Amino acid sequence: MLPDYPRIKKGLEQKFLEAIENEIKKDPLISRIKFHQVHEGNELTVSTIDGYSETVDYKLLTSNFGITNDEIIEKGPEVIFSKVPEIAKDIIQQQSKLIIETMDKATQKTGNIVNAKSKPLSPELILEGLKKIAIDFDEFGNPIYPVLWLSQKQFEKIKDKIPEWEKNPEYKKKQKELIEEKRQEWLDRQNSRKLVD
Amino acid sequence: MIDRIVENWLTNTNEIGYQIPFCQYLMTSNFTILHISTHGQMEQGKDIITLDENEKPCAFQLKSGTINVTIWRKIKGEIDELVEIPINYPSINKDIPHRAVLVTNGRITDPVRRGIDDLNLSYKNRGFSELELITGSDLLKRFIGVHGSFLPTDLSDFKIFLELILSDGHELLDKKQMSVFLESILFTPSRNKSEFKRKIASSVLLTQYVLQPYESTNNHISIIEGWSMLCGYILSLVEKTEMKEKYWRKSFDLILEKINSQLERLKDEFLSRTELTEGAWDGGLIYKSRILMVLGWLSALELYKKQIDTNYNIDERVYGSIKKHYGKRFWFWGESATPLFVMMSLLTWELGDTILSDKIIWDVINVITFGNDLRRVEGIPDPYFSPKEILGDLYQISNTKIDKDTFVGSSYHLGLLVDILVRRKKRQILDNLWKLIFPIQKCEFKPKPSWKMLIWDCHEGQQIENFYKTPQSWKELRDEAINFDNSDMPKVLCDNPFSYYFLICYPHRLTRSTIKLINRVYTP
Repeated sequence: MLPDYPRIKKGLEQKFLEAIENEIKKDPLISRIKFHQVHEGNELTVSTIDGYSETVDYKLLTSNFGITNDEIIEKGPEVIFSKVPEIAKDIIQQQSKLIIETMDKATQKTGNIVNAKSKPLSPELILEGLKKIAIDFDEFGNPIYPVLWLSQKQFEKIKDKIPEWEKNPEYKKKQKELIEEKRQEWLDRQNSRKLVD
Repeated sequence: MIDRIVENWLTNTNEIGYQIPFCQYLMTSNFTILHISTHGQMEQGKDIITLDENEKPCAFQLKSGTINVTIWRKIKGEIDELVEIPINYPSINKDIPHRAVLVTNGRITDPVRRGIDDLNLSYKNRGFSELELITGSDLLKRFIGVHGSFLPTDLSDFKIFLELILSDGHELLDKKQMSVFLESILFTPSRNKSEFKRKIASSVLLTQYVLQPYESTNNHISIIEGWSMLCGYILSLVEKTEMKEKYWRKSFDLILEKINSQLERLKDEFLSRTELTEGAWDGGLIYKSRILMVLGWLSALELYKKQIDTNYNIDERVYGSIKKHYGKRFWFWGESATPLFVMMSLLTWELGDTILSDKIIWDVINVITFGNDLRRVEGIPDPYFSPKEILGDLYQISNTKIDKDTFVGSSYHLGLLVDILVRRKKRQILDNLWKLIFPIQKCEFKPKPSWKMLIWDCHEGQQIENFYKTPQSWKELRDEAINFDNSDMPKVLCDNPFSYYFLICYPHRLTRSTIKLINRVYTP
């Protein structure tokens, strides 16, 4: 063999993976999700606090990118690093799709769905959706709202209406009532977190 | 411990791996080595040709692993050649039947032994010598018997020994570690001169052992550097103790033979490959440093061969590769790369391409003077830093950061590069460069005493730092470039072609004085 630097190459590979990971974490959806590393095994069983449980296999996410041999020889590892945004974008798309599919599967199973029946997104639909989920509160008693995830197209349609919705006294009242209801639910949940008998 | 270590090495190596220690064993048993086949390929069934202790010609064929009936059938033709074809060597009388020995580091199964017994009857009836056998267990006894117990005993030295044998064979050799290991074998107190001989013999075996990870990956450069370091350390011991040639010369020549055959293998691989990358994450500076390293070493091989045989025709393919890659596929990573450029310049000069030869030196001077210009924040690493360390720093992978600001304004190699151009009377080139050259401080380390020049890390010696005069006399410059004062030079290096390899392997020993070991001719 001709002279080589395996340790340096291993280091570069590690830096490359870190760079992709950091780039992926910049995504607004993925950045909200808590990740942790699983060190062993080939399947995962997760149970939520409300008792929903599922066993899943791990999915392999891969991304292909092309570099010519001449580019590699001329520019070396730098040319691979230049592909990080492209790879991260691809992985984000795959990961997001997987997340949506997983959520869809879970909500189908639990019936936790609000059917809009082809109606455009409105404050009523949002409030109806909020009704179906548990909301937590911080130490100051403020609600920790979940993230509303929309496609770019959907967002364009409603973005100008949001300030108007926020000012509407009727919606504000309904939202306040809903929050109080959720606060009570949260307090009940908190109170039930104790050892009995 | 030595028994286990040798056994472990012996059972895991191949025939190329134990060839050199076996030759060393033969020499210690009063055999005279006449020929070792290069590339590990047999010539008429003979890997090693010798005269035995009674001056009788003797040929050896080396194999590895167990020889069972299937393998025996495959090698039977080679064995017949070993026994039946006379040794073709100038000083050997072909009419005298030679001894033929089959050696393996494994065992020979009983059916094969019975077959050999029958075959020996047939050989004998036809006037040939019987086939002799040496198997793994015989080899083990012989190696241990000869090499004694020269294993490092100090705990820290033993740790280094273990680290070396467990190294990743794909990496470049850690020369600092290798030097500590060699010192732990060769520089321990000796009772008498004959113990030096045994110590040198042992160092050959143990070096082969620690280089085994590199042998198994065919990591040519690391193998070459490991053996070159052993040569350097043997010469330092010779110089230090004023040892007579009879104690060391044969071992030294054997190692040089190994270095040359490994360089030939490197040449074969390099010239036959269409793709010079090594796996993933390659290219760029990694790729360029590889090409430079290989072509620098191959240039040294050609220059070495030319020095020992003036009729040798330099391999034009090496020159062709330099021309092909020069300018776009080389990277001057730091001053530890200078010897590689110098070798390529000397080789192209030898072939009459003075323009390329001068350009190589001119380019290196330019890189150093621009790179270490006083206005710069970071300079080019001095010859004490390896390409691995420099790449690690560049890609922020190594734990230790190189303070590159400390290199600004000085150079270890500028003076010797200027001297080369002075010897070639390239005053005009130097006139153009002088404004860049004169502000750079020239550094040089002179080990004391001189034998320490051959060891890797020297704690005694003088660091000399100076500037060219302003104005600088050309005549003085020329006198300094021509005069060769070898008073502070190890005598064993003078007129020794090993200097080509030494100066690549020990780039921090390349100085205005040592360059004259390989280039001191003034172009009138």
